[in-house]
Amino acid sequence: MSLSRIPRIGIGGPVGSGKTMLIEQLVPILKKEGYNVGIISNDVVSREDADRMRKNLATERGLMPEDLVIGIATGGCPHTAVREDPSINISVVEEMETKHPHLDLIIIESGGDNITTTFSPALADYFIYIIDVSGGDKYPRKRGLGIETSDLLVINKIDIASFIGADLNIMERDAKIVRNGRPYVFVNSKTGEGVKKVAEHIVKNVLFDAPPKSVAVN
Amino acid sequence: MLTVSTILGNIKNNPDLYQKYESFLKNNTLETITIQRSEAEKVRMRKASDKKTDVGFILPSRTHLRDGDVVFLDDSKMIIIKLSPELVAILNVKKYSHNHSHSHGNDSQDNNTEKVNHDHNSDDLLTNVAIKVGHTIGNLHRPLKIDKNNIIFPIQSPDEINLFLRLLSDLKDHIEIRSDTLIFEPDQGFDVHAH
Repeated sequence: MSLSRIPRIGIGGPVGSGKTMLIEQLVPILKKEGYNVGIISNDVVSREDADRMRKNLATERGLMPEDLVIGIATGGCPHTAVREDPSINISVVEEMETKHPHLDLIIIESGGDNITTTFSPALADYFIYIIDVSGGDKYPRKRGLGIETSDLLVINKIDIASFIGADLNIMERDAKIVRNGRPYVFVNSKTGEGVKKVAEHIVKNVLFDAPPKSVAVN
Repeated sequence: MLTVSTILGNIKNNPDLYQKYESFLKNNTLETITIQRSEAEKVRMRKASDKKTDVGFILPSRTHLRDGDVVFLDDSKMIIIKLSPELVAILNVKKYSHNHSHSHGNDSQDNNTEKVNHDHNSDDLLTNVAIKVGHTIGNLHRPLKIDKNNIIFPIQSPDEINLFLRLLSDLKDHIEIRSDTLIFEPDQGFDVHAH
C-alpha cells in the first residue's frame, strides 16, 4: 500500500435518500474535530450534487477548498462506477491523494441506486448505506446487500415518520435482525440530529481514533 | 489498538504455523477475528478478536484475507482470521459414463460406431450443460467455486434455489441443486461482485 493512501468511505443509497445532505452535515462535524475531507460525488448525467456541496461547503462556508469537491458524471448504472469498474473513481481518488496529501479522509458518494448497491473494496474502506423512512417501515426487512452488509446503515428522515405512518420501532427491530450485529443509526439530515453518531463511527472505524494529520504534524 | 499490516501465513498450508496454532489452541491463547466474505478484500478496517483484542488492519492494496490467515503471532498469543459460514447453492452436474456401450449383436464395427456416437453425445451434453449453467450463474454475477463435480456459489435466501431450478429447467434431468451453509472462498479469478 502506498504510504500516501488516504482512508476512504463510500456512501450509497437510493435516489433522494439523503446521501448528499448527510455529507453536508458530516463534513462540518469532522472539520470541527480538525479532520480535512475531500469529496467525490457521482451522478449519472449531471454534477448537480457536487455543485451543490461545493457551493454550500466550500464557497459559502469555507470548510474546504473548492477543488476538493469533484463531480463525476458516470453516464450509466451508478453501481458500475463504484463496484464493477471503479477505475474512474480510483483515478480521481489517487489524483486527490497526490495533490492533497494532508487530507484525513475522502468521501465518495455513489449516484442514487437500489438496495443491492455495494462499493468495491478497492475503492472504499468503509461503506455507509442510507435509506429513508419515506419508503415505509418495511424497508429494512426487505433486505438487500446494501442494507444487510454495509458497515453502517443510516436511516434518514426520521422527522417525517409520523406523517407517512412509518413505525421507527419496527425499522429498528428489523434492522437489528437483518444486520446481525452490524451498527445502524437513525438520523434527520435536515437538522443534523443523529449525524454526530455517524461521524463517531467514521472516526473510530476508519480513522482509528487517530488525531487529524494537521494536529499530528504539529 | 494492535495494528496489522501484513499476513504472516495460513495455518492450512503452513505446517509450522499449524503446529503453533495447535499449541496456542491447547493453551487457550488462540484468538480469532471473524469476518464476512464481503470484508475479505478490505485493506483498512477495525475489528475485535473473540478475546476483545482491538485490531486495526492497514494492509497492502489487493490483499485478500482468507480463512486461517495468521495476522498476529508472538510468544503470548496467535490471532487468526475466521471466515463466517454463509448460505450457498451447490449445483451438482450428474456424471455420465464415457465407456458405456450397448450390445446389439456381434457386429463389432456397429458397436464401435455406436460407442463413438454415444461418447460424442455425452461430450455434447456436458458442453451444453456447462455453458448453460455458466451463462445463468454468470448473468447473476455470482462468484464461483468448483469442487469436484459441484459448482458452489452464494445465495441470499434458500428461496433462490427455486429461481435457479426455474432458470435451468431445461437441464433438470442433468443437474441437482441444494442449499447449504459453509465457508465459501471463491476460486481465484471467479471472485466477482454479487447483486
